[in-house]
This record gives sequence, C-alpha cells and structure tokens, in this order.
Amino acid sequence: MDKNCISCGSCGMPLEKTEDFALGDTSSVYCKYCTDEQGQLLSFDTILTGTTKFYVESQGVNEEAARKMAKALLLDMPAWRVKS
Amino acid sequence: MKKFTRKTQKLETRNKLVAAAIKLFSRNGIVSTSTESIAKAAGVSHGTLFLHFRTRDDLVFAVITRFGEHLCKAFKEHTEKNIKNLKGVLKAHLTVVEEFEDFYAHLVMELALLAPKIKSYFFIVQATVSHRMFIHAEHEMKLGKIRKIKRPLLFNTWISLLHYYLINREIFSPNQSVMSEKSKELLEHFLHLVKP
Repeated sequence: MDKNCISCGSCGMPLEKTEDFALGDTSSVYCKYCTDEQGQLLSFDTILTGTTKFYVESQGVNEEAARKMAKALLLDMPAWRVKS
Repeated sequence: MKKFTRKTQKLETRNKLVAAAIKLFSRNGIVSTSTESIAKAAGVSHGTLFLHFRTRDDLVFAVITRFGEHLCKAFKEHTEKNIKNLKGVLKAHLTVVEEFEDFYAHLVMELALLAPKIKSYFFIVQATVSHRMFIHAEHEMKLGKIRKIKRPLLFNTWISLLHYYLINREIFSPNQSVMSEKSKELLEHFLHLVKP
C-alpha cells in the first residue's frame, strides 16, 4: 500500500489503513463508512448523518452545528459536488 | 529516466502550486496571501493556477488536505509500530503539527474567516485525531493507567493546550518553532494530567 494517505472522495476522511477503504480495496476512492457491503456509495442523507455523528462524538460540538459543517463539506466533495 | 507525460506534468504543477501556497500561507497568513503571489512563487501564470484549482478556496482546501494526509501517514507509521499507548499517538500528532507549524497556527487563527468547507474539513481532521487518541486512551483506561475521561474532553483538553501555545508562539518562542521548544514539556504535562 502507498505510504501516503489519500482522502475519501465522499466524506474527506484521510484513509490510514487498508481496512478503511471500501471493501478493504485500496484502489477504491471511498471509505468503508460511506459504502455498503457491495462497495456502493450510501445515500447522501446516510453519510450526512454519519459525518455529523463523527463531529459530535469526537469533539462534543452541537449537533445542529455539526450537521451544518458536514453538509458544507460533503457538498463540495467529488462524490456529491454538482457538476457545473 | 522519468517519463514526462502530460499527466505527470499536470501533477507536478499542481504540487508546485500547493508547495508555494503552504510557504506563503505560513509566512503571510492565509487570508492575506493573493493567488497572484502563489502563482508567481510557483513559477506559473495566474491563469494556470485556475486551471488546477477552480477557486482560491479549492487551493486552500488542497493545502489543508495535505496536512490531513501527512497526519494520517504519521498515525499509520505509529500503528505499524504496534504500540498501544496514548503517548505514541500524541507524539505522532506533534510531529506533523511541528512540520506544518506556521501554516497550522495561521489556520487556527483565521479559521472563522475561511470558507465553511475548509472549516468543516479542519474539524474532520481533528475528529480523526480525537478518534485515534481515544482508541489508545480507552485501552489504557481499562488497564487503569489513565483516568476515565470522555472522548471529546480528552481531545479538547489536548488541542486547547497546543493551540494556546501555537497562537501565542511569538511570545513563547520568539526565535524558533514553539513546537520544537515546548512539545516535550506539553506532552509530559498532558500525560501527567490524565494519570489516575
């Protein structure tokens, strides 16, 4: 595996270990938290909820503020960005 | 011999722009650095910069992503050592904060002025640090080596300490990196605080 980390194309989380990638496949551009057991990207709302939870549990931030931050990030990630 | 394809050339220009941005953001701050000066420092035209980054915010985002990925790499190297302790995680964190010290200090001070997606990504990176810290701390809590502390407070206490010294680095360490001078002391102090 490459010594450098890459970030998930859906939630932006840097992927540290092989098992952090979708299906444990390091060629995947998404993380295991953003994909289902077939490696398919989960719905935007599911990922939004998961990312919000990640902010709240890790840093104790307000849930509404966390959701706002998660939305600002996700909407600009390659998986969710509206192509202009 | 290196094969110079259009793709590698594109990647090299992008890397040059990110490296120039890190240098100038570290020296002059993020908000007050112009895209013109970054392009000039990278040796490309102003227009070329926007072929690689749609907006200025995208370039700032690329720089902070670089920080997040270096941090991830440091944690990966720590994981490979297979030592389950909080001290190792904190040391890895300190190494990368020191590497990016000037940029990171500006980032913390200017965060409120930056685009929401940059702020959001910064807190995702912080979430990964908190996550990593707690995995190791929880193990040591079970062994009675560390007091039981809630995950957000464990992380927030650590990061508050670092940020205070970083924001005020000019008075703590006027002539050198505050992290290189104080990190050992801060680490020992924090580990003492969390002892049972």
